[in-house]
Amino acid sequence: MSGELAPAASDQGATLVALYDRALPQVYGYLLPRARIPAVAEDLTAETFLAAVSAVQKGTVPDLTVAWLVGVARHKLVDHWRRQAREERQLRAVEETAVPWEDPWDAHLDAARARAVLDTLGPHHRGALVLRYLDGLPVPEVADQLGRTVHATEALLVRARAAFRRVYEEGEDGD
Amino acid sequence: MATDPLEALRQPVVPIPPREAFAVELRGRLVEALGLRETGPDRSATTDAAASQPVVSVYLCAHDAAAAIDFYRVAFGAEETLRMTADDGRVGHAEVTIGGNTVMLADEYPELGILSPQSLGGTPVTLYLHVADVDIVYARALSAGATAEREPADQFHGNRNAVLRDPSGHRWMLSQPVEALSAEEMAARAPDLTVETPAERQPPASRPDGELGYFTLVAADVERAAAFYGALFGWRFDPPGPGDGGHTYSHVGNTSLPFGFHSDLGDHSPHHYYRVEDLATMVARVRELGGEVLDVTDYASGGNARCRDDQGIEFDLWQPAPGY
Repeated sequence: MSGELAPAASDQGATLVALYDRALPQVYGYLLPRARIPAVAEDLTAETFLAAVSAVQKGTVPDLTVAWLVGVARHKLVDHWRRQAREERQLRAVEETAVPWEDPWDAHLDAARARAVLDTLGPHHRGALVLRYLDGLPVPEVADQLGRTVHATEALLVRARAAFRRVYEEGEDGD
Repeated sequence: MATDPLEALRQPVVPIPPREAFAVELRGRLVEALGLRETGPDRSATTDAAASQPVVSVYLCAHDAAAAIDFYRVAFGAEETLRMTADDGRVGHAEVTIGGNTVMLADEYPELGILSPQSLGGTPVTLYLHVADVDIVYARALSAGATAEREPADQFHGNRNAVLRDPSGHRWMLSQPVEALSAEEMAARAPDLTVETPAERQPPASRPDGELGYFTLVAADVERAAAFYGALFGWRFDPPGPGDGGHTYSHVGNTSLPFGFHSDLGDHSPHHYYRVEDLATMVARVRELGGEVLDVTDYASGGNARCRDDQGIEFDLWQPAPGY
């Protein structure tokens, strides 16, 4: 074992390994329905645990729990969408800037179809909606996760909902 | 605030176990990144098993790994210890033990160039299986789906052998010792072959005097020592026989430094045999230095001088005979 590792840190390392069997299905179970692609969920799961290792080694983990690991997984998911959005932005000429006016929408969503619709959205919209609705985070926390202001996040959520609704209702017509 | 239909998307975290291969691999990365040794109780069994494995193990590819495992179970008494099935249903990795050794196997992965003998149209490898009774195992393997290649027969080298192809196309030689033969005896039975051991083929490079060449340990019951250390270290004891002094003696030949067990040498200290080039010169030198030479004996393994140094500690000088 590395001599640089503080005793507390090495204890937490052992705790992390001991926690692994219990935490792994939780972390993967958080990531898979949100990332949707098993290979991506595996990559993000690995990133999550390896990030936990470096946090443990730096001694910056206040409370090493499954909940904390799921929080790390959420960060990794947001990072993933951010990378994806960056790649896709290079393909898209115009970023949506205007905030559309939002019609009240009273519908009962079919969960399976709603997930399929989420898959078709751009990563920035999908990310915002997953954090807000699948994870149930309040808007200020979504803003915090995405590194945006609350105002910008509200605007993003309005656009994301509009994009979601457009695709969802198209599907309804098509069926 | 108006109801938001998207609230219906709420998805609490439901645990989902990932692929086992992924889980195992990530655990390994975690442990390595932390610089820890694995201590989890669920893994210690496999770690212990790995430690007792021979250094070289067989990793087979089968056209149908699941069926191959069934065949090895029925034909060779294999026990399945691990199976990792991928999302696509293929066996990515499986382990069975046959007679205490682990054999690993997997389905074909043509995209990785991993193909079974069936797809390759043959195999250059023969798997050699030590069995207690060649005829029984051979018959059982054939009835489990193997293809006969050579019926059981006694061989010149003292083993009874048979050869078969398993349903995956792997070639197995079943072998059972019938007689223990020396290289000379094998050579006598196979005049068209030159039979020799590396020691005979290449005389050992000259070694400096004083290198430890052999040692002996004392045990009241040599057979019990053979059972104990055989189980502990895998030391292979020759069948105990009469030693030079009427005691029981057994040689252990599968360690890098060979040694032997005596039932009784009159004392209980280990004996050390130091190699020398020229026994007569060294015997004289011992005397010059104030030591004592107790006796000089010629054994098949070479000349031996039992000596005592100037403080009373006994040791042996050994001029190895050719081949030792």
